[in-house]
Amino acid sequence: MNGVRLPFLLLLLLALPPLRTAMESRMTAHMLGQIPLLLWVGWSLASRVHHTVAPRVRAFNPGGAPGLLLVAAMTAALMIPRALDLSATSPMIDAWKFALLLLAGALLRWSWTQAGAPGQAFFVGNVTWMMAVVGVLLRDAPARVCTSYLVQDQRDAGTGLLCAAVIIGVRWVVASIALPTDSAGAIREHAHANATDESASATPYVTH
Amino acid sequence: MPPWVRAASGSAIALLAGAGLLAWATDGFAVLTTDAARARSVARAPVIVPVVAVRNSAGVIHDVLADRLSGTDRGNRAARTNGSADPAARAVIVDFVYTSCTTLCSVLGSVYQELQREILVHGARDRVRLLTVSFDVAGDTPERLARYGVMLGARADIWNLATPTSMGARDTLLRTFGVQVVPAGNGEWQHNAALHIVSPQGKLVRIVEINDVRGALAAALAAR
Repeated sequence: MNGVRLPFLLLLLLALPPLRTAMESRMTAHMLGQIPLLLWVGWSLASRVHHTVAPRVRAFNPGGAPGLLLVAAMTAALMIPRALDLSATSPMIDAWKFALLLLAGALLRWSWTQAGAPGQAFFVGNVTWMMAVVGVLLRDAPARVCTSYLVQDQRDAGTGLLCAAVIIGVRWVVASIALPTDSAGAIREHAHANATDESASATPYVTH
Repeated sequence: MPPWVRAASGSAIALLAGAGLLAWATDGFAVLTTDAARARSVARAPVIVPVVAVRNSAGVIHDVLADRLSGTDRGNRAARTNGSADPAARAVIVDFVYTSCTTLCSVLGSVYQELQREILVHGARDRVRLLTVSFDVAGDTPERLARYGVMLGARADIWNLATPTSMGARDTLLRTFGVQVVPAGNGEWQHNAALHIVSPQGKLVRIVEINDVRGALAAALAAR
C-alpha cells in the first residue's frame, strides 16, 4: 500500500508551512521542485481511480486534446512571473495553485494514453519549447522579473528550466522510439486494468 | 447527449478555462510582471498614502508626506483625511532605497540627481519635490541619511530623505507603494525600484520606470 500512501504523504508535506514556505522562498525550488511534485501527486492520485474515471471523461476529452491543452495552459500560466509572485505572497492564490496543479496532473493522466504518439509529441514539443524559451529569458534577463526572488535565484531557475526541457524532450523521444505505436499504449492500458498497483506508474512516459 | 456534443463541450470548457487562466495571470493579457500589474492598477485606481511616521535626515519625526520646506504637513495629512487640498502643496516623486546599497540604489541616486536638475531647469520647484525613503530602519540613522544626501547633492528645498520610525511603519509604506524587499544575506537586500508619483492630495497616482526621468516629471506636474 506504499504506492497509495506516498502521494498523500507528499501532498501533506508540500502543503504544510515549513516546506511550503521554504520551497516558495526560492524560485528554483518553487518552479523545479514544488510544481513538478504537485503534478506528480495529481498524476498518481488520478492513476488510482483511472479505470473508473477515465471512461467517463473520455467522451468529453476527444483524443486527450482538451485535457492536454488545459495542462499546457496551466503550465504556461505558472511560468508568468506575476503568477509565481502571487502564489508566493498570497496563501489564497497558493491554495488555488495547489488545486489546479493536482487537477493538471490528473488531466495529464487521463489524457496521455488517449492522445497517442502524435498528441503526446505535440504536447511535449509545446511545453518543452515554452520551458526552454522561458529558461533562456530568465537566465539572460538584465533585471529581476519576480519581485519575490533574488536575481541569482532567477538565473538558476532559468538554467534549471532549460535543462528540464531538454531532459523531458529527450526522454520522450527515447521512450517513443522504444515503443512507437498506439497499439503498444493500448496494450499497456489493458494490462493496467488487470494489475491495479501498476496503475500507480509515476512517469508519463511509455517506458515499460 | 450525442457524442459530438460531449466532445465539443469538453473542448470548449478546456479552451475557455485555459484562456481564462492566462487572462487572469496577465491581467487581461496586459502584463507579465507584478511591477507592471501594480503600475496599471495604480493608474486606474490611485491609492491614498496612509499617515506614517518617518524620521528625516535632520532627526525630525514627521508624517511621510509632510513638506519640510514649509515646516508643516500642508496639503498632505489634511487632504488625505478630509479631502481638502492645500493649494500650495507639491506633488512628490518617491523612491525606496537603503544607503549601504551598492547596486540598484546608486542607479536611483543618479536618477534622482537628474530629476533634481530637471526640476530646477523647468522652474518646477514649487510644484514638484523629491522624497527618498530608506527601508533600512535599523541602519539608516539621520546621520547616515544626511551624509547620503550630501554625497548626492540633495537640496533641502527639493529633495528630502527619511527613514520610517518602526518596522510596522516601514511595512505599511512598502505595502502601499508595492515595494517588495528580499533579504540577500550579508545585510543586503534586493528590491524592486520605481519612481512613485504622489499627487499634492497625497494619492499615489502613477508608477514610472526608473529610467524615465522625463515621464516621471511630466506625471508629477500633471498629478492632481
